[in-house]
Amino acid sequence: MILASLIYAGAALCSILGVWVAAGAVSYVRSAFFAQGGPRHTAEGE
Amino acid sequence: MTLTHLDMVLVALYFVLLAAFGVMVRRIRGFSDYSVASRAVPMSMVMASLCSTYIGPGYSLGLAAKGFSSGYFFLLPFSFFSLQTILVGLFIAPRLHARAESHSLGDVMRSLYGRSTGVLTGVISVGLCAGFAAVMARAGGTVLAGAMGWNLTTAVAVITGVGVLYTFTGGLKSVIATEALQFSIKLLVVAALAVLAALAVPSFGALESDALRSTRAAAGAMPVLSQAGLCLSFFLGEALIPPYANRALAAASPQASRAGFVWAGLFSVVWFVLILGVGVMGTRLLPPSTVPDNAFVALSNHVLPAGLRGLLLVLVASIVMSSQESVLNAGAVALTRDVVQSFRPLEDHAQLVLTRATTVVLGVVASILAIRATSIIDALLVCYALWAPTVVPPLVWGLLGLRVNPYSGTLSIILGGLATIVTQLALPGAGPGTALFIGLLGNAFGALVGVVIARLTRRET
Repeated sequence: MILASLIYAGAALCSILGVWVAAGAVSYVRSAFFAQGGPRHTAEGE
Repeated sequence: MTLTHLDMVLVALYFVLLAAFGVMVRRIRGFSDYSVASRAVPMSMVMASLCSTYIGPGYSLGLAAKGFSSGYFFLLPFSFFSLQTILVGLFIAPRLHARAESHSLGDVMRSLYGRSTGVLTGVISVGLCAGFAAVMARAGGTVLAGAMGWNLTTAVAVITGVGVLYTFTGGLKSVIATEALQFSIKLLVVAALAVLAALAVPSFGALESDALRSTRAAAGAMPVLSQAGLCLSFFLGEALIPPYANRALAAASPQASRAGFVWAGLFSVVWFVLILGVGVMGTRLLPPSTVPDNAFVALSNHVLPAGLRGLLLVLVASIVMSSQESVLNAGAVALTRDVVQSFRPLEDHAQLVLTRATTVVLGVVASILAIRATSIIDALLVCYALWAPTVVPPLVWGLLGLRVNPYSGTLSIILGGLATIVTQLALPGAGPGTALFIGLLGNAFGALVGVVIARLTRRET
């Protein structure tokens, strides 16, 4: 049953990491978005 | 693959999310913003973008195929990639990050060895990235065409076009933001697939016996020397290629650079075990006549309920696009900084304009090659085989502070490359790693000749 344990443990780890990375990505995009001046500047483009 | 309305909604949602992530960080203030994301990328994003880049078709669909045909045999050679990534994190990435004036590996090589070495590094970087982008365009286009019923041209244009769009607008910032999103998708979808497949396996006891038998058979079928060559290829083949090295340059601090690589290397072991496991489970759940290369997609179709098969399409698009956008960005930056800038210094804004234009050109060229000229892709992929025996040794020695001189840098690249090409031409059927090993010898010889020339020149002056 080593294989089953490895697969379930790997899947659990990937799920946790997936949620953590998604939260990190949202935070990165938010900080980059507001660092560039928020919606006003984004709407204006460059 | 038959797609329902729910599948179509999932695919549409994916592309909308991707575009939103890419466009929200699009404002670029200068070339440094575009090429190295202003050196402000946190550790978590360095790790996520690295993982997302290396989890291309080879390290997902290809690895599952290996699990399907050879059990866990390929875990050993793939682990050498993990080891390499960890070692790069511990010893090289912080040193790369310390070169605050560098935007690319060509910049780093130029500062270590002089202009000609920087240009050579740039040329190999551009060739490697163009070849890689074309391969990804073809792989992704083929899957998308099959799933959506489109022709290859349309599918390649969509896959590459979306990536080019946000790489063009937001540079490395957009690439990293979207890669993190894609990595998250890969993790969650593969975890769900693995659990669904595990629940469908009738007996894990029998599966373990089968996997052990397949692993032993694969190990017995390959001579020990070939296994060593395979491990060497995995250890050095992708070491410090431009899209990876750019993450070290873009990290917010040396600590972020180091930890990002180390965690990415450690995670790769978990990933390899899981994906090989998916392939192994396929031996129980799929007909024996299944072609190994199709095992991952076939297993996904087998276990995913109707209405969620769009997830598979989203997963494959993530796998292809995250690798492709990285090489498009890295290739464009390398062409501007390492090649053009070496001959004609440009203002910051001009570098930005040129790099953006090159991103589009590389995307178009990659798409054309993917549709019409696979033989040219093969030629460009020679640059991929050349990377480790040309650029990696002088880069590593130089960064570790070993005494270097301009002759060593240039000669090691030229002789390493020549030795690799000659070996590939003379011994086309040689085992894995043979050309790489001989190329490394050529590289070392070139470095040695460079040292001798430098000493003679110094004595004369």
